[in-house]
Amino acid sequence: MFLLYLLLLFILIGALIAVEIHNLLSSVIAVGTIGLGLCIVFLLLGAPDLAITQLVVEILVLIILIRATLASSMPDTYKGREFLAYAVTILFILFFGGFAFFAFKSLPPFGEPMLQLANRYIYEGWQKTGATNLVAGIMLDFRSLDMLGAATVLFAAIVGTLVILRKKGRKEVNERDEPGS
Amino acid sequence: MSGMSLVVKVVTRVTAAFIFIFGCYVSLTGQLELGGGFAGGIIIAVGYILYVLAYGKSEAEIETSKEGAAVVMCLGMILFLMLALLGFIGGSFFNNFLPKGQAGEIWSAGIIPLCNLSIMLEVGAGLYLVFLNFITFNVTVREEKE
Amino acid sequence: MIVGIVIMEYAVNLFLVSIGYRWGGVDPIIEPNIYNLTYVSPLPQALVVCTIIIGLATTILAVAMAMRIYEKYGTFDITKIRKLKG
Repeated sequence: MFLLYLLLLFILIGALIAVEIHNLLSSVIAVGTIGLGLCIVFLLLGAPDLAITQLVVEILVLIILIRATLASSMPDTYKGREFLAYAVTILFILFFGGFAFFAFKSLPPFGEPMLQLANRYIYEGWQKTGATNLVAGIMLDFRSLDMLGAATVLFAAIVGTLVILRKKGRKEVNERDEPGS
Repeated sequence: MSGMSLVVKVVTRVTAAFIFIFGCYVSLTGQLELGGGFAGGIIIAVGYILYVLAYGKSEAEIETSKEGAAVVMCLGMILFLMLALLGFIGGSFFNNFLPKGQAGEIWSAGIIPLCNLSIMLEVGAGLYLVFLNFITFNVTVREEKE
Repeated sequence: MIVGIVIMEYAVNLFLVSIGYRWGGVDPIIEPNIYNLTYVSPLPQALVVCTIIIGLATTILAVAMAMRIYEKYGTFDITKIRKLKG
């Protein structure tokens, strides 16, 4: 438990650094450390499948963000905040913190069983799906429509990115015919 | 963006193949051990990205890679949708209709290994395609602005 | 702004996973001959894997749009982008 709290403190400090620092490249690297700390927290909370997925997704997000940051050749971005931004931030923190405090009081304490739906999945999961890895069995057998939705969303996002980053032939009209044919 | 030094190039030739095999292993044994389709697909995409990063933009043939990756990505998506529609044999949409064999083998748990295979193809090729477009985008921006 | 969205999404994933934790629970991988183990609840983990992938898709699209904005305006500063009407 001590290790869990230490890692949560590490993630919190990393997040504060990522938001407050003015250099864009440093803030992207701080996001990388947050993701790594989150992966280890997932391991401690008993979710190794999630830890693998989170690690590789973090690496890919870092590669793409650093590529976008280095290519723009602009290290210092923020010129300074205004007073209104600070006031809105503090107001939002008070508002959200108040609601979150009342919401967390009504949850059962950490570690107690809260979801009774998963009991049926654990008892019958191996007989009905035949999969040893319970998380993958639930993901692709009991909840396979979610995976269909996720694969479709990823496909749509990739196609959308390809459309945004297409080279437009502004000077030559001939280039516009080639991708279409 | 030119390639890296000779040491990196030689080591990349060896490790990219291992990363590819590891990605296939993580994806295809998703129902027994950890992983599943998404993690395996991203591992394969990172293996290809490593190859492009080590050899530089001019040596890696990017235009033909783009077309090949697009074909594989669409193939993976079509395979996944066909598996979902074939579930009508079992009685409802997306039913698990193949026989569930003995636990601990690869060919167990019905439709799950085929789903993992199709997701691996789609995610791996799709993310590699996105990375290639991110690389080739910035060159044209700088040439047009100056 | 993209950094802010990514951090918020990590926080939500962490909260969802920590709901299903049980004291002394084991990872949800079944060995077929051992019974009477308390497992960590696998239901939020199945949902969060899906959520991480969708978060990746959102981040990729947002970064592509940010690169187009940079090409058009020449800066990433939000206050300047409002003033330049392109």
